[in-house]
Amino acid sequence: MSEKNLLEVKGLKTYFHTFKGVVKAVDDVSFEIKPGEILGIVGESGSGKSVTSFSLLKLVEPPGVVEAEQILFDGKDLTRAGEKEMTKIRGKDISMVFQDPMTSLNPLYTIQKQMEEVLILHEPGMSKAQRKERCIELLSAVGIPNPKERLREYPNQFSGGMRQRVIIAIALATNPKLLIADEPTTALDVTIQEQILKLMKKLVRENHTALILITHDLAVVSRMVDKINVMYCGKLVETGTTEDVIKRNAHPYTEGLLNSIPKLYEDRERLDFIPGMVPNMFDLPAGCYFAPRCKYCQEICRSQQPQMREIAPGHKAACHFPLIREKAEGEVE
Amino acid sequence: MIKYVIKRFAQMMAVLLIVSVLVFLMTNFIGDPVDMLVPEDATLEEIEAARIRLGLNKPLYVQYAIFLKSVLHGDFGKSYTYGLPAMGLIVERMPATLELVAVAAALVLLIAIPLGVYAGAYPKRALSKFIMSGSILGISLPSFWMGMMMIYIFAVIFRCLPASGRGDTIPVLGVQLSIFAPGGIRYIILPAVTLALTNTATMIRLTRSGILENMRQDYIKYARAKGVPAKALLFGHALKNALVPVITVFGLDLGNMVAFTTITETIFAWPGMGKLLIDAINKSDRPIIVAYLMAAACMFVVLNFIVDILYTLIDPRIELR
Repeated sequence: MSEKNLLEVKGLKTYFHTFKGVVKAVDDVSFEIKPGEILGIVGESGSGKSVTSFSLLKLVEPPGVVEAEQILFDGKDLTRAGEKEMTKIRGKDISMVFQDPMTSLNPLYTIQKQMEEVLILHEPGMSKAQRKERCIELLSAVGIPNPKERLREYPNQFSGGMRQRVIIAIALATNPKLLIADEPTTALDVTIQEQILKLMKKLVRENHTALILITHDLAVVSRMVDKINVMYCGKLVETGTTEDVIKRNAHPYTEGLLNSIPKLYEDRERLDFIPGMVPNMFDLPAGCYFAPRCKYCQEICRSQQPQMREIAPGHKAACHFPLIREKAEGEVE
Repeated sequence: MIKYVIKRFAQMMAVLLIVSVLVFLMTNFIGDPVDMLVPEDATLEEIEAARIRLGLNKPLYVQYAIFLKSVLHGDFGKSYTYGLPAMGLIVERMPATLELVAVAAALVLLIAIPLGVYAGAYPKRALSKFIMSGSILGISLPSFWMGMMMIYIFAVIFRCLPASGRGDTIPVLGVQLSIFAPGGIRYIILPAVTLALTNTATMIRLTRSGILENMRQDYIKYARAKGVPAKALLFGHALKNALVPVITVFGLDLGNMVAFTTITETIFAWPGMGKLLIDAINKSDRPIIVAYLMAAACMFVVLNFIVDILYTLIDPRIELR
């Protein structure tokens, strides 16, 4: 673990300046990821997970404004990179898998054309035959039968799961250093979800690619990733290794998320849930954003925003009263 | 595909048959051709004799049957005023009209698509707003007025462009064209711009809304995430998706331009089919009117067929059935 960080994000702020006011979609988020590492970003809808990923690639459209003290990627500070530099990084060093495979591909181009597009852009030295060879190789790697024939087909001739495989193949075509997957399985059947996740994990491990997996499903994340960031209302509330966050979670929000996952060994009528609603992004509470829904809420939580604090080495949480758990208790599961 | 072409061909024939009935009936109402044909001092007997000689005393459906039979042989009758086969006259004038329409259509595409893409891609820029206001002006100003204004400005005040006629022509592949003749191109500028104006304006708006709509789509964001540069994004990804409605309207516009160059041709005394038609209407020259309408209908039908074929080339999801 002494390897240098591949990506270091410090103080990332993505604000949307709308008529109704400023929405702090991502507010002062810092994290890092090492080469080959898998990081999960978890949170409810609207917690700023997707915006975080788009911010890294500078794909946030106006009225969104991305600001950061530093986004150090592979020795380059992306905060200073212009659009031209970013187009060279996008798809080459950092590639993305989108949420909905049904709408991610251009309906009017063949799979081959869309796969070759990244190679033409980022591997200009490749010959036509080499490109085709690579496309076939990639499609078989993601488990698409008859890759040769299927290359000539259009996206509408593929099922959702197959399209997501194609998108993963495109994402890996240039051997990126970092892959960002934004809820890659949310739009898919449950049976396909598992396959796609396993496939992604396998390919990422083989290529030593770092992966940021964005999801609202803690259960998915716990089996896939090395580290977890938990986000709430644009803020990072807890970060640590998978074990720390799942078994020794310190933030009440993380606890709430975990308790709302159905467990096989428990016989219950109803699942636990987090009471209340995600607050309005235009009108956030003064203190801790989670305070109105938190069962451990105290006076200070309503007035003062908690800062990120280290609870154990590498395990941080933003809470005035972090839950401290003994190792033994967590390991009952 | 072949099955589709055959089916469409049958449809086209049916459409043309219906058009021929309508055209035949309409021309029957616009005046008695016998009055045009007999000398002014003809007696009633002479008029009656002419009527029988021309077959105009027969019942209408018999007349139509005779008409249809000769039309199928390519015979639309002889022009009353010129004494020459009507279709021959139309075909003779056709290159001038087609040349004018082709130049105007090229102008429409070359101007409207880039401007529309720009206005759609950067809707908030001042230039986009200028383009959009300009297009409203282009739609609302009648083209005959614009034509006259352009004659006034360029031919009368600045004297830099000719106001009427077609100039010299040279044969290109057996067809007389003026754009390739030295000095000929100066003659086509004003009429072509006039003809292109309204269509350019609508096409800009259509392209813009298509681009605007498509730039919001996921696949555009995905393409950006792949590192596709802005230009390729606009012209490669978004424009192709915005093109289906643009082509539909362009096909119709093209038909319209061919059929209704009449106004432009009249203003600029351009010796094309449209001018021939206006002259023919003024003189109740029935065969020319009929031949013209049938030719225009043919072009409409064929253009629409081409547009349908183009759809499938653009969008693989569209099936020809």
